[in-house]
Amino acid sequence: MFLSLFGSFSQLAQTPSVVALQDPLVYRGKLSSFQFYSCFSPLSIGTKKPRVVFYVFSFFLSTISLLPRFFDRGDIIALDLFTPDGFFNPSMTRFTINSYSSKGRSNNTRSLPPDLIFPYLPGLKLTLSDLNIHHPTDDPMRNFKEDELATFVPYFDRATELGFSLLNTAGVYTRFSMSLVSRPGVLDLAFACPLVAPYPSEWSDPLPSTGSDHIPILLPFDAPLFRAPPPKPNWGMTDWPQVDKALKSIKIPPPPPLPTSHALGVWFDTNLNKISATLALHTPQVRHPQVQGVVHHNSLGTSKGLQLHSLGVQGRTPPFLSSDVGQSRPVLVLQGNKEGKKESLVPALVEGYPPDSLDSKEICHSPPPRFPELPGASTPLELNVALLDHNFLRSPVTAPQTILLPFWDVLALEASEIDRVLACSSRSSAPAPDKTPNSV
Amino acid sequence: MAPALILNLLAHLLSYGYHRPSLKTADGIVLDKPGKPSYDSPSSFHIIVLFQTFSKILETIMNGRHTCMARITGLINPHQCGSLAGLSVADACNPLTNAIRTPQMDKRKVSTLFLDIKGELDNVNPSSRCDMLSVKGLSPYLVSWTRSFLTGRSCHLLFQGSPKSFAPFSVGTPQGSPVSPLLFVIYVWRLHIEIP
Repeated sequence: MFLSLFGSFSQLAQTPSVVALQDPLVYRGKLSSFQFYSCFSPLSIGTKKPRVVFYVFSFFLSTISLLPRFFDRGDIIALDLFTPDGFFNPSMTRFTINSYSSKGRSNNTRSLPPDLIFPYLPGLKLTLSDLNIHHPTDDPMRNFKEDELATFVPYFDRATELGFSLLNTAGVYTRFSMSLVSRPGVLDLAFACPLVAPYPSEWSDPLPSTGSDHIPILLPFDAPLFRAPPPKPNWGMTDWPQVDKALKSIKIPPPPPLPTSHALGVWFDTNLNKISATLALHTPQVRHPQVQGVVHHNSLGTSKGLQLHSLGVQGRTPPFLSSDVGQSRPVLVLQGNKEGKKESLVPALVEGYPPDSLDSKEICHSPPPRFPELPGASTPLELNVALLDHNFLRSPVTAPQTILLPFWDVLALEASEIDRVLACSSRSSAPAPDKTPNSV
Repeated sequence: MAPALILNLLAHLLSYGYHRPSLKTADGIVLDKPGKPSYDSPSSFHIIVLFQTFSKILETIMNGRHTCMARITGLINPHQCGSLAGLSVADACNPLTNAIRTPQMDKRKVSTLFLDIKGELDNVNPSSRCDMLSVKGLSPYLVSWTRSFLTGRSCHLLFQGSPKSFAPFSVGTPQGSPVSPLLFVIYVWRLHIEIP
């Protein structure tokens, strides 16, 4: 079933970083949300249903910069990933992943022409597609009809011209028709440009069926890109008696006499860090369970997966209503109104899951945040600058090394003032760069 | 955290009228404004700025001290409502309603002029504000701290895939700071005189 796709990731040694979904489930005008994944959709849901979307693992997002590109249509989306360290070598700082979903037309053509799918653009490119075409290279056992042969030629000619390699394992079907009389086929094609082609370690389908007529496909990349996300302090487990004892032993020396602003700043930061370090020392660190799995099974900087999953939802009957569907049920469960979901989901989906599994928390009730699409901002850095310039006046960093003189009229700071502030501070206020919540 | 340690650290900053740059870094959460026809302009998004926890302690304390001194020196107009503890917009509505109804009872026509200051917090000039504080006789350490607080700020925008780098910026008064509303009120106190 669709929602078990993300649940089935627990079977993998590493959590996929990017998930490209075709025909994503839309429930009451909203895309599904999945914990720890951020969704990028080419269309505003509610007006038209997108046919391709990306889900990006949140911890992966914290290690890279990213700019999604939309094309005012629901069947194309691109992700530009950036990292200053380079993806496959230090000079390759930008990596583009395109996802296409093409429909067949009556005259043996497809809705997305070859030059759109394989444009003349430099850089690292990975193209994930359901072009609705068949080709002898990936499906050698198929008896091709004449019109099928005519359809694929322009696409593969174009791909060959630009040096793209097909990553699929020849002969492995990616779609099993709902109709028993129809043949299985290879519709989900992954192409890599010459610079990317050496790096996918394998094209495979290790995940169980999701109930779709298409299978999930995994493309792991051997690239020293991924970093384990930093652990977070688990403030609920802080050993406060020990913290109190340790804090009492901290002595803060007076600042240097007649300090410069820099010297006073260093004094302040050093002593504040002592307090922060004491807190951290007595606070257990916590990693997200999924990431914990990654860390346990792989050393830092090993490969991660990049997943293409193509599936149908509305009106299609899952071809594999086997036991694996039920087994994967508890991992990701549905959220929200049971009755409403029963009405909305196609009967096949409901039949595939026992009714009690519909009590879960998966369908999104808040749409994903819109990504800024600003003309002229083609990288995350430019986007950052455009937003900052619009909202703030930019100013150069000025740090004059002036000698600070104490003011003699300062009203002495009293402990009661601090107590009053701490007592009134909101416990739910979001922490800022210091990551220390008010409750601490 | 032990208040004595906080006291020790902050008291020295205060005695020099200095706000440490590391306390002036902030996270800016980029949120889309709902209902916009398109999202291809920065104006379709707004930024929620989150400040350092430690800094907010000092800012709240300074807010109290500024309020006290500003009242003494007349930098807060007695008609000011909003952005002050105990005086909200609702307190401004009652006298306004009375001012409108009284002439109406005498069959006179009444017009009310409302002014909206766009980007009020962002467009305050820190330098002229500090000069104003100084001229009005606020304690030099308060003026010095305010100047230090308002300058040399940097922000780290957070949106999906953001480059995660701090960028220096200049802003009138940082939105979200406990002391900003009061600093703005002080900045516009003259409006009460110019527009009686």
